[in-house]
Amino acid sequence: MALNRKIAYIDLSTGEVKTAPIPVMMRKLYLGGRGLDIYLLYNHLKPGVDPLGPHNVLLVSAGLLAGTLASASARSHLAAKSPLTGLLGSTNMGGFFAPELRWAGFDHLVIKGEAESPVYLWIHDGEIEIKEASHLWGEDTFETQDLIRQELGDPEVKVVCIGLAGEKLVRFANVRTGFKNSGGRTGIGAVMGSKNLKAVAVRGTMDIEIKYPEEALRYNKEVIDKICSTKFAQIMQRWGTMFIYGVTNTTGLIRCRNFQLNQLVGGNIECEHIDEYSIGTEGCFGCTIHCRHKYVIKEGPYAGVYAQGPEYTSQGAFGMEVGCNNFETILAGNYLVNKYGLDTLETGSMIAWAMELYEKGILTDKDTEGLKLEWGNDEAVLTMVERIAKREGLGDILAEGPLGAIARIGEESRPYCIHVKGLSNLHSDERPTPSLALGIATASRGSDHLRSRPAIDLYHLPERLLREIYGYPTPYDGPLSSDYTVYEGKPRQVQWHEMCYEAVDCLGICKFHTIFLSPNLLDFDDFSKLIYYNTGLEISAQEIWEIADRAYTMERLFSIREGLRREDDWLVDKYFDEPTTLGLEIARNRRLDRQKFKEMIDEYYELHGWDENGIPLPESLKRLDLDKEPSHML
Amino acid sequence: MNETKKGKERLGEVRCLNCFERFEVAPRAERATCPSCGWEWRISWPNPKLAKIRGPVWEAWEKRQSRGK
Amino acid sequence: MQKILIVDHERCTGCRLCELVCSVKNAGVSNPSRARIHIIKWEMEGFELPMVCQQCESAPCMAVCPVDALSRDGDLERVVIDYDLCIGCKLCVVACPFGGMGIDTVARKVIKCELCDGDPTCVAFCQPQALQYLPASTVNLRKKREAGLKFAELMRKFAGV
Repeated sequence: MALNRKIAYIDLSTGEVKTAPIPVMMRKLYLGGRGLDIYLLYNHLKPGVDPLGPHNVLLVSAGLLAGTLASASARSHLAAKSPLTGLLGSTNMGGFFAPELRWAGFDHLVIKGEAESPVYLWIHDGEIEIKEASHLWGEDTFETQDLIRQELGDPEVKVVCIGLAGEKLVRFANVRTGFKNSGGRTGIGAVMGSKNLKAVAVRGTMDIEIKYPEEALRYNKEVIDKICSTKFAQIMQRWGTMFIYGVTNTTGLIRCRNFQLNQLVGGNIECEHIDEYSIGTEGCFGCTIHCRHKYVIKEGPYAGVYAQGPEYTSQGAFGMEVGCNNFETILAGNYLVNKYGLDTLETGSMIAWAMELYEKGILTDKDTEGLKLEWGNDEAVLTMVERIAKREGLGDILAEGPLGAIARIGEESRPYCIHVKGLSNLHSDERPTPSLALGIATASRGSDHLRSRPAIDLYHLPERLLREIYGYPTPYDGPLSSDYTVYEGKPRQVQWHEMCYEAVDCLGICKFHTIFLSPNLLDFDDFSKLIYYNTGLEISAQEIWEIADRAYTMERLFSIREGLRREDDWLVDKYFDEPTTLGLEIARNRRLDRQKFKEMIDEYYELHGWDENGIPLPESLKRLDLDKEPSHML
Repeated sequence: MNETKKGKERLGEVRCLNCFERFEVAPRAERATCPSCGWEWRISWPNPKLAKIRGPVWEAWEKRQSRGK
Repeated sequence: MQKILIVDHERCTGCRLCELVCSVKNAGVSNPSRARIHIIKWEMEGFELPMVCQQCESAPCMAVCPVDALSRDGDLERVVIDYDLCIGCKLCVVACPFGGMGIDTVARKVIKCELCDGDPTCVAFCQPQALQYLPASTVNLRKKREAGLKFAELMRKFAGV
């Protein structure tokens, strides 16, 4: 049965490995993936531990539908207490790891303790071994995977690993799988590094049963055809997520030079440039959008290097944010962060911040060891990436992430650091867009555009269509507006997308196949059918929403337990005090209004069933079966 | 607009990023001007049937900005 | 007109959806080790190649089979296995130069692509059209057209068309 799945508990301190079945009841409460991971994290982790110490718990999982007929059913989720924020650590990753983990017989791994010396896990067809990895320590994320495959004698082995940054406990080190896929946010790579866990390797040849094969095939075809017929998919297939820049930079919704400007005027880094370097596109498991390019860098110190991507985030990190206007810098920067295992978003933001501090004289040539951290200095940007990964000089300070680096540099650096709860913001400028601003202020892992971004708000969709989307599967009679510059109706939009992305992260499907960047993509009804045909579980659209609500509320409970307060759901002063100056008329001279923003947060809390401090009310906990947590059922 | 109807299938339609009006772009065109508001755009083609705004024509953009509009 | 399954490696994105639908169609489960098509990847070089039975005219698997369990089906231009005759000696697995003959360890039999009886499922799902099921007599025309496209683009610029 697709539901006959196992969970493994691995203690790296003692070497003990235990496995157990996952009861169907837990699927009905949390589905799997991110949902079940937060349950496990909340139940297995004691509050107040050092995220880089042996008592942190690392969860690695495959979505419930990974490896099944559910469009891009490729995604894994990892969770732990975040070394970057001290709150929820949660990250998603594509590629081919999740299906392989499931063919190997496991859906969830709970990893505790700390190994005495570097190790890697080798999981194959129901068996789990802990193997020596000292010879892999120091290798980059490409070499590590290749060496493990050679050592195990099987080129089909899939690996998730850390690079040098994770080993050096850079607080925003990521985990990597394949040539390009990453679990970037919240520093999960550092958690692996602190456990001396270099990699997890899997290989599986066991069946995942599809409950209704004919119907699943037919419905998957329908879903794929629907997705590929949209304009959005056709553009993504050609140029990947970088196409977003065409809209956002033109309009003035981009953060340029840290937060000084909201547009890169004269920008010459559009997605279309990738055509000059590309040798084709690749996709994750089961995905017909295949949004990443395979490219070869042509000139400069990285000429001849083969890499994949880049994503919109890298375009910002090595483009607008650092004042660079050179596509090759983006290509090189993307390669470097993948090689070392660094969160591209955090890396770009930290460097941009350092550049502004350098400009303001808060950081000097002495601090940068002579490196000219000036806007547009491509070479300095790429050098800083290396220094951060290796924790050298200023890199050692920036490697601490926003909160840690502010503590080391001093309070005068704080106003220039653009983050929420210690997680840096995406390079979008949300001053003209209250809905997007609300999303990043309240996201459960800190500033994040992937937890709840209501991106379709940018499309000025007619109200009729908005009502159809946002009034289902739970009813909503409040205001909705096609205008993305207003505050009305936006809390509902943010909440809806939170539930949608939570559901899809539990299932292991790619968010880009849902109502994220196009209103014509998959919704809760589709999720329900995909679950039914593949697993036989009958879970309605409303029940999926409830599961997502439960998981999201539990994420909130976890962070509250670790110290989250209402005042953390806010944005830095610049959003409210300084208006935008560039872009189209709709985006110019915009800033957020504190009172209206506060009212949005109040409404957002109310929609979630939380009190005025953002703490879930007792009746909400009861409604969601969370009143007896931690319940230790798994 | 009869000429566009003739080769309708091969023309791309884009939505002006300034005024949100939709207008048709000639096949394989690299530039187009919005007939409603006059903003000039660079055009790219994800495939021969689909047009997309690549970005502003920066020279025209800077002229507009310096005129204060 | 007979059709053949033709692979275009340049279009393959390595998504492995073909492996998934093949195993579901033929074995009712998600398990690439029970699929008849596989994407072979050279990850460090960025190269993906779909590999599947080539339905040879003079098939080595047919030549070595001691019980004549393999035969050529002229209607669908494919080599088929008669499981009533097959003894599972696996000489066909050894003989095939492409790895076209595999072993299904759950069903305990040799397996190969049999073109889903004329409607290949992998072809239906391959969005980039790296897998195509085309009339044999015209298979190379698409390649000629694509290779010629660059030339055509150049001529268009010169002629101002």
